[in-house]
Amino acid sequence: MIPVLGIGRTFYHHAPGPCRLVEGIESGAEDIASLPNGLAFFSSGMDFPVGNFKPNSVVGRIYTFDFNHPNEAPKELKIEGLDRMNPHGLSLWQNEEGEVFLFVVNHYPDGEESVNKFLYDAETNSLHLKMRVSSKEHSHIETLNDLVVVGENRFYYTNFLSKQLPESIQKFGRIAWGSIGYFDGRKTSLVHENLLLPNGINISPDSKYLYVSHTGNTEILVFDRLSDGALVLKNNIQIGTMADNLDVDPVTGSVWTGAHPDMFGIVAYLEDPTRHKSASQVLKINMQDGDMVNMTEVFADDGSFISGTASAVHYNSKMLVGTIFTNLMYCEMN
Amino acid sequence: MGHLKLFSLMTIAVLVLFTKICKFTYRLGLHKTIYQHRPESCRLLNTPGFTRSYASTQNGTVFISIAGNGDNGTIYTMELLANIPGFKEIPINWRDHDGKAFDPHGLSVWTDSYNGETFLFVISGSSPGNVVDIFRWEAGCLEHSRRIQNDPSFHAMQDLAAVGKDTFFFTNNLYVPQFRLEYTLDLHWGSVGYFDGTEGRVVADRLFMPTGIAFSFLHGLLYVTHFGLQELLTFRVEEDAQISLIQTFPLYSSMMSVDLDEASSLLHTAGHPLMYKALKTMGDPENHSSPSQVLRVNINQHGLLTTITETLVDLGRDLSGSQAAVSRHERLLVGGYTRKAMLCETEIKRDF
Repeated sequence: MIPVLGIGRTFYHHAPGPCRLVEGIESGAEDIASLPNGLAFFSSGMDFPVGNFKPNSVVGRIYTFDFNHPNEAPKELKIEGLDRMNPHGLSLWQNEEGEVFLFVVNHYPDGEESVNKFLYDAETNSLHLKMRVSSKEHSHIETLNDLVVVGENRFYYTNFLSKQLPESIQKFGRIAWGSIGYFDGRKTSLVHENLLLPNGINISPDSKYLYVSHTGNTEILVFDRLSDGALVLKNNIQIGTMADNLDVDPVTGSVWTGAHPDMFGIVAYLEDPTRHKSASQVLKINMQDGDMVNMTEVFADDGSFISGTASAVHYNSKMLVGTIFTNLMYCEMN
Repeated sequence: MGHLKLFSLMTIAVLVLFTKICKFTYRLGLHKTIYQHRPESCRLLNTPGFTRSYASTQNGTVFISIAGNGDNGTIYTMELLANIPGFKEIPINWRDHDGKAFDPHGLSVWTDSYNGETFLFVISGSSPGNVVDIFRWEAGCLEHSRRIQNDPSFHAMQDLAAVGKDTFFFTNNLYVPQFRLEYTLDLHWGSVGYFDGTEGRVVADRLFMPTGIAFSFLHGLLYVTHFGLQELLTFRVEEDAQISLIQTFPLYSSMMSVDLDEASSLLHTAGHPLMYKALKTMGDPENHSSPSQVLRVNINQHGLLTTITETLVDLGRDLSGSQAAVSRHERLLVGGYTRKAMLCETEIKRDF
């Protein structure tokens, strides 16, 4: 329990190079995904759990950030085919024709949960809705958090919480009713159950291993993927902190994560991010064949500079770090 | 009534014991999780032995005390800002003194602003350290000029900070001196002393194992790493070398050294983030490694400590048991209980 609670832990600040908060982003960047050309997409303005914030106090948006032009402000994408977004985790898929699809977890005020698939149009700077996988039409979709796309219409997703029990009872009672689901293009199924707050999910560059942040146990789970989409637990990597979203460097295969090292801090931040700070941390975990080689703390802060880090993406010695509800940070790495 | 008194005394004793055990457990760092990181450009250098202490001139000539392999230690130098910094053993001209028992520990450099002469102050002694040797640094050689010993105020000295040609502040790390006894039993028997050229005296006592010490000529302040309580103490130096505590700055790690770079208003300190591992390393450095940590503390215009940055953590694989760190012009050198030192280029980012 000690690593989960973060009791007695010290949060020293350090950064890999000059870092700055990106102007214009004040409602968070919960999840970030990037293309091989350096164009990153991120979700902002999340209201989670739904109803956490006053109605209309935050507006869900998707932005792009170009690592090749880091001084340009993030661009908001126009959403076609959906009236309102409450975006959470997201994942990119590029088909053989070069078309880019963005899959986004969306929470609705009436309790509906869905994964929306959008086609990205760079010319009009917009996202066009192409597919919805909704909890109203599919079973095994509970309170979603993140997803990773593994095929044209196939993806794994994390059910952070079950809808069968109140959120607080699951979180603080440590009731492991979270799970991993799989959508094979037609139907959903549960491929791993009894997890305590499964969060970020991603896949190794060779598509052999699935990584899942098991937040409640301060570990990252590594699964072998079987051909039918089933998962076999291969490894659990103790990281001693609550990793949020996971990003995988397509070149090195390293896992990058924004993490919450202080449980009390993050609980207060989730309640009111304008009043409470939470310590921030970015970890890089070097992997080989599904095993951890080593782990480096790339960035740390006690929350005074940046609070509630949830995602970290690396591109060409540059790093973008998002938070759940507040800022987005850009760093150049020396 | 007798039973009540006995019960009360036993309750107090149990509570005191419980408090001591809790404090000891906390000091050992059993609750901590640490993560490796370092500046982007670091490399490892082979050292002639285990590093004990560094002292640098402002232009980057670093004096290094190195523990010998069973023999007495030696003084080396490194030109920190050279293109290819390397270790160089320094010859010592002992003149009329006997240098056979010389075993250097804490170091301090002082430069006479009138004639530019540089002096190296060295704590020496097999049981660290009850002797201070003062050398004049001349043409790549140390000329012995004075030996101070048998002063009643010297008790297991750890480090010193020269403030004049033969005056200096020093830390008495222990009193008994039995490291494990004083550390385990939470005995605050350490002190800071001042030697005025003739005799020494204690100027701050009841400290829990003070280690590194540095003096700011700019602000008239003394910085001391308070190893046992994992903090950094700032003392104002009054007339007649009396000192008064003006700031207690938490470090949350058991730090060994203080390096003050007045030109950039930065203080670097190296030490042990996990004492339960460091204790094993201290006892048997050849067979046990422990993590290293360097912290950088910014100093404001009044000399007070403001913000802290963790510059480096090594889990002990490359750099074990860091004992000392020195930094000049964004170049950092760290050494410890290993025959390696780490040399890093560090970009100082005050506002990150």
